[in-house]
Amino acid sequence: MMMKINKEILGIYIHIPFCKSKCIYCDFVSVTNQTLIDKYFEYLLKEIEMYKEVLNRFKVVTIYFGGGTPSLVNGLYIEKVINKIKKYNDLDKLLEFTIEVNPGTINRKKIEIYKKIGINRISIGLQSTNNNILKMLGRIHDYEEFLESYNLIREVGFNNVSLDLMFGLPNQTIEMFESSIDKVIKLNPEHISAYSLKVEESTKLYKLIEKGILEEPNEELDRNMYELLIDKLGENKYNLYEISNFSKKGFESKHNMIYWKRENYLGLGLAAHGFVDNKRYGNVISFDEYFNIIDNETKPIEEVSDICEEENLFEEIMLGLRLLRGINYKEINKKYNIDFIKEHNQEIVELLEEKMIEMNNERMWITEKGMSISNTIITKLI
Amino acid sequence: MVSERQSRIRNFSIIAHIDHGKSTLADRLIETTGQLTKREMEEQILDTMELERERGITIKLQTTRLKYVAKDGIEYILNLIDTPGHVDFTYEVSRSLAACEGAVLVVDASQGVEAQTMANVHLADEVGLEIVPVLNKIDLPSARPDEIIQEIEDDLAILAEDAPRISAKEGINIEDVLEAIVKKIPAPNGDENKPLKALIFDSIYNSYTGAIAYVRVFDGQVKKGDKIKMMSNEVEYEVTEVGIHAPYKKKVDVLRAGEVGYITASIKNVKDCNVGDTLTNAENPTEKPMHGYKKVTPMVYCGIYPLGDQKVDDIRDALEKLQLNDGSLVYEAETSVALGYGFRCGFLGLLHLEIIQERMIREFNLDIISTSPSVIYNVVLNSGEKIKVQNPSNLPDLTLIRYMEEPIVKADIMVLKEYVGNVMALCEERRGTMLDMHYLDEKKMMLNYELPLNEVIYDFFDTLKSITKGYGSLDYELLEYRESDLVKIDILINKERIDAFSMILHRSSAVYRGRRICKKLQETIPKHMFAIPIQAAIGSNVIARENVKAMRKDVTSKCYGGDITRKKKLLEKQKKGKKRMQKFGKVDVPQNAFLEVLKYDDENK
Repeated sequence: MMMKINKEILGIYIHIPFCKSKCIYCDFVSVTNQTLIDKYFEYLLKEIEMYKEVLNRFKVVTIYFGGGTPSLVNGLYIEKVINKIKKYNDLDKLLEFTIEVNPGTINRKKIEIYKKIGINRISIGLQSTNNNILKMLGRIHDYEEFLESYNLIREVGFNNVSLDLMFGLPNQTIEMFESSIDKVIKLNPEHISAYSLKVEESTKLYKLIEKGILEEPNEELDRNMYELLIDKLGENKYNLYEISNFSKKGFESKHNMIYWKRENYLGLGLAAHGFVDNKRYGNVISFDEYFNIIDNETKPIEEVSDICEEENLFEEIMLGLRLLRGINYKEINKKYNIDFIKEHNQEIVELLEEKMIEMNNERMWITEKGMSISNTIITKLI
Repeated sequence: MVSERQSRIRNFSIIAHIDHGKSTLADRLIETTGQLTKREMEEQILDTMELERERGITIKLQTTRLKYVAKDGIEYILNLIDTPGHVDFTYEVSRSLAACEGAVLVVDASQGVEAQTMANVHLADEVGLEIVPVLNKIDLPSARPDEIIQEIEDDLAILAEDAPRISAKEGINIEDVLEAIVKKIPAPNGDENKPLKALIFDSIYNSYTGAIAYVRVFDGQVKKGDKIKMMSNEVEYEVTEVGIHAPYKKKVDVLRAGEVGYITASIKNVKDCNVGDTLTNAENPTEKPMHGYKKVTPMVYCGIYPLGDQKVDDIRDALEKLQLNDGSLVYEAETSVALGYGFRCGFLGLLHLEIIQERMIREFNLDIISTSPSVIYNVVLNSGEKIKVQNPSNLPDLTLIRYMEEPIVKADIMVLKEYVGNVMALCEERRGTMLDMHYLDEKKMMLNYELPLNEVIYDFFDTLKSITKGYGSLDYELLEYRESDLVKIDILINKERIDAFSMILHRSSAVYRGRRICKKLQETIPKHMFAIPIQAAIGSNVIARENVKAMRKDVTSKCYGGDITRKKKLLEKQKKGKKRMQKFGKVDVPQNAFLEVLKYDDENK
């Protein structure tokens, strides 16, 4: 009994690298070739086998199916994965079990399976309520189809739903974004993630901007949108608890908190990342490699790195400051035997002067104003 | 008196305008005389410094001994002393020329005689060298050898009728060059039985052997165990090794009159091995030191300061070592309000400055920052006292100054005639006075200008290259100091006066320069959390202003699937970039900002 109580907590991320079609801004690992789905899950189950020791040793508190589009595949695949995990962990401490879904890939039956196997949180990709924007982004759905999916999810009885929004998009005006926010507020989801567009080099969007077909997003406008977002959601009882995440009270994403608080998490599947026993690892990103390595009864890991003391501190500050609650520097001082405030005295004074950070006698946090340039701020404090 | 041994030696340099193929010919000579097989032959072996290869110019002198069996059946020793090829390095050319009896003049068979060709020939003439003209790049379709031969004869007064017509790149007629060297360049005279008299034409610091002196022995001989003496400072050493480069270092028993080689003597203090000095036997010294050594003084000064945690002593150490190989580099300790302890360093020109700075960063791994370059001004105070100012922040209060003088140079600019208008406009803008202008041939013109040096050192050469599509060439020498209406402009970053940025300029250029500096700083200084005003001012009068806008967005919105490593790398990189900055008050300024603001920039034209 004592043993069980002392078990450390663990999150599990499972990557489902399939999509109906690729959105123009996306540089995540996913393919549209659906013939590989069956084989992929066969190997994913084998990979889970390899982690039975870890699954056995920890207390699993969150599971997260991300993608790609996890809702693209038949719900029975998801069920198989969970059954496999259950072989090594009874999941009796599971608090949050999320799946990402995209409108246009789900039906009532699928959602009912999700409900049945214990999924209790659904993250749905909306991005925008403007159909022209959705079309430009290469999304497979329009706003009306999204509404159908959303209502279906509610009907089946999910009471923890998260919506994804994007801003700072080409052709997106502040009025368009405001209208998206308003509509989303009316839908009353428990959680909202809002990402400022980052144009990644390997994407179709990048090429379109290079060719001059789409206009590069305007930084000033992007930040105005972010400020508007914080204001509007704040008025409606959504709290900004992390750079890109808002929630109603008590609905912060527990899985994401595992990342920010540097708890253990297992990454399973192609290109997944994990952090277990103070080692960070990333899986291979090619299907062939993934299959071959597993055939050799080896974990499909591309690279592992041991996190040394100095890096632990670096990560703790970097990740902690993503959260509105910030870092507890008193604890950090004790843990690393440093004087955080003294070591960064000059920078801290400047940051306080510019109202980029605030602090009390044990915590320091980035202000809403500072969130827009959090990288600059963090760089000064590491 | 020329001994049999000496009659088989030829000491020569190769001189050329930049890009006319000097280094390629040197490579080809080494290869043809079998010093290296083709496989061993790295391209342009004489340009050994990484920086030189990148820029395609020779900065450090290199020397190599070639063996060549001539058509007369005799084996000759040919000592090739390589020379640099940029207007900043005239001094280095003069040192190596003084060690030779002859010079191979490489002229591009399509380009013909250029300003640098003339300047080099002039230097070679001064030390009485026999000049062997060679026409290079005859394989190119644009080659016009007959016309160019006429040009060499007309413009340079050198007989060129039987000049070898070669292609160094293709290896055509290389033997003709070797034959011409043997036939035309005189053997060294000098007496090996007289007291030792050797000219140091280059030196290199080596941490194992101490300073290595590269010498040309004029009289006498030197071997291991000899007591030697530097004539300028009377310091004595015992020789630990003598040798030659062929082209790799090789020990020999003795170096005798007429020969070229190296000497090591545990010379610990690098300042005791001055290029241009005469080295003699301590027990049996020669009467008079060599002449022909031409001391050139620095024209451009700037401060070099440590960045971040870098120690001042490491910079001193690097300067000391660099100075050993580079007699034109001078430095002394100074302090700056903004930058703390550092050094004021003197250079031949802006390129020289940049090269030294880059070598300090690359070869010595130093984190440094350099201040705005300046020339030396004469300042006459009300008291009648005359002082020299090469650091603008040392300029006395204006109320104490009666007048100031600035250095004026005579500049020779050679240019294709279609660009003459552009060049005249440039010189006009830079306060130039035309002295003369004449045709060199149907296409080329020579312009002679008087120009204030502080207008030349910054971006003049780059601008000239740009407005003449690369066909303009420049050579200049100091003429005199002249009274001038000079002002000091200060740069204020975030309302703080940064002494390291101060410059002395002519009143008429102040506004234009001030605007450009502010504009460049605006582009160079990264965005901060707050807006940063950048101002140029004369006294309290602001003459230009720009603004670095506050940063609005620097955020990683999404951390995909727990991929923390990616974000970590991004921030580490960002952090590293910070370290290359100098903090002025609350503002981080990149280490190259001081030089960047003065550089030529197409957008400004």
